Amino acid sequence: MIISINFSIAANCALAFGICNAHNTEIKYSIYDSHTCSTVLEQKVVTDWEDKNNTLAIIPNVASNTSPDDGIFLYMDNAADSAEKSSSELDASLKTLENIRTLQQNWNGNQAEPFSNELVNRVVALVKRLSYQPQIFPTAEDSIQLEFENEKGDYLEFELFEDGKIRKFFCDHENNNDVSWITIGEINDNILMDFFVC
Amino acid sequence: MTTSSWISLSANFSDEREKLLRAVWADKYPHLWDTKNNRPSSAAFKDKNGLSVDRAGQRTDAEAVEYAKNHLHGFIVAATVEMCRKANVSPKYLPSKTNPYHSELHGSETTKPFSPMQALTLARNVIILYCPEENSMQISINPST
Repeated sequence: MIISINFSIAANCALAFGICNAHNTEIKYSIYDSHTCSTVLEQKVVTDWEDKNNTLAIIPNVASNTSPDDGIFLYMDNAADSAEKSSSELDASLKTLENIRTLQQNWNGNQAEPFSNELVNRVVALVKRLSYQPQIFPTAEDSIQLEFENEKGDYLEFELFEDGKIRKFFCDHENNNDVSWITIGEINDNILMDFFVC
Repeated sequence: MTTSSWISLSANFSDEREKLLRAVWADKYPHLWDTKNNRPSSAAFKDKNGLSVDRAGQRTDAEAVEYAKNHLHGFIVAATVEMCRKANVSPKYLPSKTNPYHSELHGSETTKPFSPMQALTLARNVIILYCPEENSMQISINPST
C-alpha cells in the first residue's frame, strides 16, 4: 500500500495525519521539498502507532527544515509489504543478471560479445542497494540496461557499459528527453523516489 | 538492386509504408520483451554491429512473417520505413546469400548504433506481427504512431 498526500505546512510545527489500515504497524514516510522534488527532508519507519483504528499519529517537528512557505510532500509506504515485494523483485533481478552472466559469444546471432564478471558484479551490487527494481536487459552494445517506467509514462534508463561508463536516459510522457553520463553513485533511491513519487 | 533473378527491391526504400521485420526473442534467454508493457525493450534495438531486419518488399505481412519464421524466432515486430525516417533511423538494404530481404537499420547515415531515443521510439511504436505465445497472427498498431 502506498499513500501519497500533498499539503503545505508551516515551519517548526507538528505534522499530523491519519492512518486507516488496522494491520499496518510499520509505515515508512518520506518528506520532500515540493519545489525541487529532490530533497528528502526526513525519512523514517514508524512502528509505534498509538492505536490500530483510524489513528491520528503525530510526528513532531518534521518540518523544521522547511521555510514557512514551503510545501512538503508526504509519502507513506507499508514497510512490511514493501520489503516482501522488494525481496521477490530483487530475486528476479539477480536471476536475470546470472542469466546475463552465462551469455556466450554471438548470443544474439549477430556477434554480440559476452559480458564480463566485473560488469555483472557491478550491476548486482547496484540492484542490491536499490529499493525499486528495474527491468534488466542485455544489449548488443556491450551494456546492461536497467529500465524504469512510472505511472505517468515517464521512462528512465541506465546503461552500464563494459568500459565503466554509465549513460542515463530520461524521456517523459510528452517525449521530452535527456541523455547524460553519470557515475554509479548517482543511481540511488533518492533519484528513483523522485521518479516514482513526483 | 537486384539480388536474384526473381526479387527486385529498391535500395532507397522508396515506399514509406514498407515494413521492416525484426525478431525479438521471448521463448529463450535472453528475452528482450518488456513483459510489463507487452512490447519489446529498447535493448532489442541496440546493436553496435547494425540492427538486422528483413524488409517486406512487396510481400504481404503474412508472407513476410512466414518467411521470417524460417530463420527467426520469438515475437516478430515491424517498423515502417516512415516510422524509421521520423526517428532519423536509416534503413540499409544489405541482402545476403541466404536472405535476399536482409537489411540493417542504422542510427544515422554514418553510424550504426541507435541513440537511446531512437531505440525507445522504435520499441514503443513497432507493430507486433507475430506473437509466439498465441501462435497466431495479430496486428496491433500503437495509436501514437
